[in-house]
This record gives sequence, structure tokens and C-alpha cells, in this order.
Amino acid sequence: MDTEIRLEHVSKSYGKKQALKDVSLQIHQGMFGLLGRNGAGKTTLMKVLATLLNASGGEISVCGIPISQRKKIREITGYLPQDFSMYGNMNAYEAMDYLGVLSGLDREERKERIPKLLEQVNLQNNHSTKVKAMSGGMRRRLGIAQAILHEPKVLIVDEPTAGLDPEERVRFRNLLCEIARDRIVILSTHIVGDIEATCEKIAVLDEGSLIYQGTVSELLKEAEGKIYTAEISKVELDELKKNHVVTGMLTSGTKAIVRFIGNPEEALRITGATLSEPNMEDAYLYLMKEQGGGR
Amino acid sequence: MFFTLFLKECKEILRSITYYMFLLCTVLFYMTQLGSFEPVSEPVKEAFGEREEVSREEQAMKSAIGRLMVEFSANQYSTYPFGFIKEVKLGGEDQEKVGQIVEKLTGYSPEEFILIATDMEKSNDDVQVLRSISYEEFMEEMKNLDELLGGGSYYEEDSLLGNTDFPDNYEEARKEYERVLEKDQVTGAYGRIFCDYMGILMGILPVFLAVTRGVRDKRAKASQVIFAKKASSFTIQASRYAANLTMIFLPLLILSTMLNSQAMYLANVLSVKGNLWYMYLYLLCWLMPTVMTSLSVGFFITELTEGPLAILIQGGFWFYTILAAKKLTGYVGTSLVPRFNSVGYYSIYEKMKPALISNRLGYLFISILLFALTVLVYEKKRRGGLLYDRALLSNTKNQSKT
Amino acid sequence: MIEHYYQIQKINLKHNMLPHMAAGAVCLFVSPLMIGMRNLDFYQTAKVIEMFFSLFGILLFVPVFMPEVNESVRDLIASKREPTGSLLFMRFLTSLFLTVAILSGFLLALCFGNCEFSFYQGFYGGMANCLFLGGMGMLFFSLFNHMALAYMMPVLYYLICYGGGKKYLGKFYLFSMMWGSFEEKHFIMAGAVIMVLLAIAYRSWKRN
Repeated sequence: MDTEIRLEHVSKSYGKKQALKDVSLQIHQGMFGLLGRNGAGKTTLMKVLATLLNASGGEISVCGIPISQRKKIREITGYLPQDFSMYGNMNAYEAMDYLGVLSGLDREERKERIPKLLEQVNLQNNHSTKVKAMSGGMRRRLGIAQAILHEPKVLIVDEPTAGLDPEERVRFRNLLCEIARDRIVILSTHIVGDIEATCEKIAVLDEGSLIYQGTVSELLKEAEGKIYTAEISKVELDELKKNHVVTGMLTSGTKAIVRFIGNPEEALRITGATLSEPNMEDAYLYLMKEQGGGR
Repeated sequence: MFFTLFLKECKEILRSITYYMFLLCTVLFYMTQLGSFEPVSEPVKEAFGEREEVSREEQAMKSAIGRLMVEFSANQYSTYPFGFIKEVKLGGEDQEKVGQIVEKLTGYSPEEFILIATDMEKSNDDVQVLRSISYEEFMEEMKNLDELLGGGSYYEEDSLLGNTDFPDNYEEARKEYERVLEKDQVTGAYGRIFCDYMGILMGILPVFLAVTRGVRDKRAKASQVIFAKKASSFTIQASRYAANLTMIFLPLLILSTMLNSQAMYLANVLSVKGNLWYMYLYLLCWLMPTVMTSLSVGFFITELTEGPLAILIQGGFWFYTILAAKKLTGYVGTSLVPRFNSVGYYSIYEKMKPALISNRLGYLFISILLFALTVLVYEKKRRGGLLYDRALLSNTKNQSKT
Repeated sequence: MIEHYYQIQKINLKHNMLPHMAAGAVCLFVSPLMIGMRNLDFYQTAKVIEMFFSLFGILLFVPVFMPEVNESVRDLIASKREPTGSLLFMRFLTSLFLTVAILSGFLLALCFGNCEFSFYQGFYGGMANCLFLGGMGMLFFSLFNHMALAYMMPVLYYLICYGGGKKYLGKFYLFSMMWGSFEEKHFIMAGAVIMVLLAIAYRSWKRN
């Protein structure tokens, strides 16, 4: 069976508001990053893929199965919602066990897999920690463990790193990469750093429309020659901000080193501006500036 | 999958404080109401007077006319539709209709009737029901009158007959006693009283357990992740429902067994072979539909609204059903809690049996229907059909301001 | 400052109490259809107040703590300058005011219906019962943060009273007036005040 998710002309509207507009996409094995502002439609798309929302139009198939066959889709997908939690009075093991039953695993499978998974997400010493006593990071890790408990082919993770501290975020990303070795992992985020570190293929959503799909390096290539750095005085800063999108800034004393998006003619008017190699954040902001809706 | 889930749900119920409060109440209620065992005993001849001269039917007709004289002439009728007194004043047309009934039954025109009623010199005995009117015809008219008054009036047949269901002389009481020994084999009589008392409780308590379960997913923010699992909506809801039903019946089973063993012992004393199963049969057929209905109302309304509305609805329904019972022994009607607040009296039970069966089947049907609707609503939510998330989001924001 | 409290009340009424008030209003307007409110004697009036009106207490007081069932909302509120205790008390006052208003209206209707009773006794007794049942709900809400339980306990108390609880409940028997005794109402009122204060105190203490 093919490991591929296909979306063709998918749209979704809530009353008058269109959350997804004509989205066509192909997602293959490995990590796939879905990037976009808050409210761009990422969660809606994820919920549609997890069969929790019906698309208003278009066609979707997951590993060859049309999305309308909910039960089959649910069998092969794992889903971690944005604000995952479980009954507070259950401990880690019980929560896994309960959700495992709902996924249709028999007793033997649960007994075998749960301890392994809890170890994989570094909760091996927390079997009896109650959900209500868990930190945000622990809860997320438990969330991932439950989502892959039934060994799904597709894992859908909505904003997985929101609210995690830097260390936990890195650990969590690595965990996802590990999991993505033999399945599709779709990850949505508005934090560019997450994508840069983990995903090869990405898509960018803006106001419900797909404005980019491709690889990270292609996106970087698009921004090449558009990113400049300059050391300017703080007085000039406001003027610069008016005309350019500033992607980074470092101030010291009365001076500021800024990164900004610009074209050659404009940029050279600023004293000391030099062309610089774009990073993922620059590239994303460049894309949003060029293609995204106004904000 | 269903059975494992069912066991897990049972375990969860055992951890909830609502359930322990439920247990406490059930046990307390049993001890205070049924704690002291009331044995069926042979009737004593001295407790009954002589057989009355006038038949009950005649007496009922007479008392109806007497009451009607007072109430009709003042156009003020006292009714008890919901257990609380309610004075009814009839509009011109309806009052005229009552006048027609008066004329048909007594032969007096409404004006003459009022004249006699308000004349201090005359007494109730001056107005007689026409000889040509049979008891059945009389009661037919009384039924019409009661309908005009909006129900719950003095003129309902049961009310007019007073406590006629109970034997009023030694011979009948003796027969009744023998029937309990023979038909009920003693233990059946205790099944009925158990269902009567526990029914009062079971008309309301299960709804709290249902609401507790219903709001739990949302409260724990677990609904989304459960939605995305493979298990069917029916399996999920049915396991919850069945677990609640089982856990509710657990204390009932234990308490009824206590009562049953006393009844079996009594049967032995009275040299009757008690039937071990009657108690449980009553439990299953009489009490179960009550429990299921309040559970189903709780499940359905809570799944639909995700709030405490089910408590109000079932509470109101329960309040009505308890207070609207016209008599405490042998009342069925459309009540969620059929009443039988006496030990024994098999003939009263026999009389109410057909009504009881259709009543119980009706509630069984309603509860199954409501449960099916619960599954439907849940399935709909799983597909993102009802836009609760969005509505709730905006609500949370506002609530944080209060 | 007054404007500030006015805002708190307004938002509470609009976002928290509205559905409960609507339910109360429906019950109130339906009641004359089921229950006679004309020409009742003293005992019948007492029965209506004690057995029927008391239930409004559950309806109106239990929701006082409802906005904070959600833990993040609770933490957010606790973090604000307004002390949680005073905020909860304000919400309690809203419910109290509503109850006073509804009960007064109810008693006035009974008055106009030519029922025989003393307004003072009806008001005091009705308030005491409402506060007692509502306060019990608030207390359990406060202790366990559990909505269903908060509704369940006062309903059960009512049920025990209904099931002939005079013997067991003594001075805290809810339906004393309909048996002609008023003395119990003072005990019920005292119990009610204690429960309400405990509920609010525990709730605001737990968060600090």
C-alpha cells in the first residue's frame, strides 16, 4: 500500500467564513511541516485529516483510503490535538491503557507496547504519575505516546511545541523525527524554528490558501539575494522599519545590527548594507511579504 | 473492545465522588424507609366494623353530588393537579357545561340546584342522583367534569371512591391475605414495596451520575483525542451507559437481597414456600425502566448541551411525577415512578398490572430512544457537525472576565 | 469603583447567570399553571413556599462558582488584582438579589391571590430555605469543584425532607412551616449563612 496523503481542491467553510480554500497537496513519508500564522487554517486542515471535521469540498485519500471511510482512517492515523489532556485522576499507564482500548488493541498488545512507548517518550519513571500532576511537557509526551500506540501509518500533531521550554522543545522535535522514520508525520506550527530543524518538506497556509509547498532548501533559495544586514544608528531604525520588513535585530549602545528584506536598489541606499545568506525565518517572512495577505 | 471498555468505565465510576454520595444516599434511604421490616400478618377480625349498608358506589355518587353543590354554586373548585392545591374558576361556557352535567344526573336545572345548595334549610340529601343513571354513566360524567377542571379534581373516580382499593371488611382482608401467601408467595409483596421506595430515588439520582460522565470528557479536554480513536460511537457510549446502569444496580441488588432474605424467612414462618426470584423480577421489570430513563435523559441532554440542564429537566419531571401521584398504593398513569406504598394487597397489584406493563414498556422505549439519540449526537460531534468548539471558545473568553 | 463592581455584575449576569436565570423564569411563569396561588390557607401557602419555592435556591445559587470549573479560567481569575473572595461574594450577591426579587414577586402574587400568610414569615422562611439548599450546593461545589455533585447534595437533602425527614433532621427540617412551626427557620438561616461563608472562604483560600 502506498504511504501517501493526497488532497485535491479541499475547502472547508464555517458558515460564511472560509477556513480552507482549494487546498491541493501531496504528503509523503517523513516529516511534513505545515506552517502559517495563527488562524491560517492549520488546525482545521489537521482536523479534517484526522476525520474530526468534514471538508466542505474536494477529495482526500490517506494511504489510498478515501477520507469518508472514517473507521479505516482512524485505524491508521494517530492524532495529537493542540491542547491534549486526559482524565486528571488517571495515571500515565491507565490513560494509555484506556486510549489503547479505544483504538481496539487487545490486552496483550497493550501490555507489551505501553511500557515501551512510555520509555521512548521518557516517561518510564512516571507510570503512576497522575495526568493532573503532569507538566505541560510531560503531558505532550504522553500525548505522542498515545497517538502512536496503535502503530499508525500517519501521525498528525497539532502545534506540538507550543508552551514547551527550549530543552523540551528540542527533545520533542527529535522524538518526532525518530517516529517519522517509518511513517508520515504531519506537524503544524507557527514557530519557524521547529520546521527548520526537522522537516524537509513543508507547506505554508495563509488565510486558508496554500501559498507554498516544496522543500525547505527551495524556499531558502527563493529568498536568496533579498536579505541584507546593516549596522545603523538607532535613530535610523524607525525609518528603516517603515520601508522594509525587519527579520532580525541586535542592539548595542546607540547602534543596531539589523537584518531586513529588500531589493538591491533600495538596500544599497542604506549605508553599510551587505547581502547575507537567508535563514529559514528570513525565507518565511519573505514569502509572507510577497504572497501572504496583508496584516 | 466493548467489555474491556465497560470494565474500565466501572472502575472509573468507583473512583468518582458522585458515586459514593449516590451509594450513601441509597443506603440511608433504604435504612430509614425500609429498615424496619414490616411483616404481612393475618387480619384481625376486631379491626373491622360491620359490613356497611350502603354500597361504596352509592356513597361515592352521593359525596360527589354533595361536593358539587358547594363548589358549583360558588364556581370555585379545588383541584390537586400536581400535589399542590389549585383553585379553579370556570368560564361561563364551561360552567354551563357543568350545569348540564348536574341536570343530567339529578334532574334539577342548574338554577334549582344552586337554590337548594344555598338554602340553609335544605341538606345534601334533598338532591338525589336519578334512578335511571347507572354508576358507569355517572362516572363517565364525572370524568368529563374532571377534564373541564383540568384534572386532579375531587371528582376523579379514584378520589371519589376514597381508599376503596383496600379491603374494608374482615372477609375481604382475609382473602387478600391469602392471595399474598398464594400468589406473591410472600416475597413478591416485598418486591413491590422495594420498587416503590427505591423508585423515588431512582427517578432522580442516576441523572447526576450521567451528567458527571457527560461533562467529564470536555472538562478533562479529552474529547478530541477520544473522538479520533477507532472505537465506534456506539461502543463508547454504550460502555459508559452499561457501566453506569450496572453500578447503579449493584447496591440495589445487595439491598433487595437483604429484604428478600427477610421475606424468605417470613415465608418460612408462615409455612409458605417463598419465591426467591420474584424480588429480582420486580427489580428488573419495575425499577429498571425508571433507572434507564433518568440515565438516558442525563446522557442525552448532557451530550447535547454539555451543561447541567439535564438535572433541571429530570428534576422537574421527577418533581411532577412524585407530587402528581393521586394515591400511594396502586398508582400508575404516565408516572415515571409507579407507586405501591403497601406490603401485600395482591389484588390492587393485579388491577394495575396492565397499566403498569404498558407504562414500563413505554419508559423502556423512551430510554432506548434517548440513548440512540445520544449516540447520534456524539457521532455528529465526532465529525465536527455541531460547532461546539467555536461557541465554547468565545464563551471561555467571556467567562474569564466574570 | 462602583462602576467597576457594576461591570463585574453585568458580565456575571450576562455570561454566567443568564441560562440559569432563564430556567428560573420559565419555572416561575409555569408555576401558576400547576400550583394554585389563590385563596390558600396558611398551611397551603407554607407548602407552596417550602416545597416549591425552596428549589429556586438550588437553581440560583449553585451556578455562583460555575465559571471556574475550568482550571485555567480559575488560575487566570486568581491572578487578577480583584481578590477572588470579593469577586465570588459579588457573584453571590447577584444571586441573592435575584432570589430576593423573585421571592418578593412570588409572595406578592400570593398576597394578591388573597392567600393567608404573614409576609415576613413567608419571606424569611422562603429565603432561609433557598439559601440553605443553595448554600449547600455552593459548599459542595467549593469543596470538590464538581458541578453534578453540587446539584445533587441539595436535591438529596430535599428528598430526605420529603421522605419524612422530620425525625432525622430536627431543627434543620425544611418543611416546618407547613406543620405550623416557625422556629426552625432561624436554625436553617444560620446554617445557610455558615455554609455560604465557608464555601466562599474555602474557595478563595484554596487558590492563594
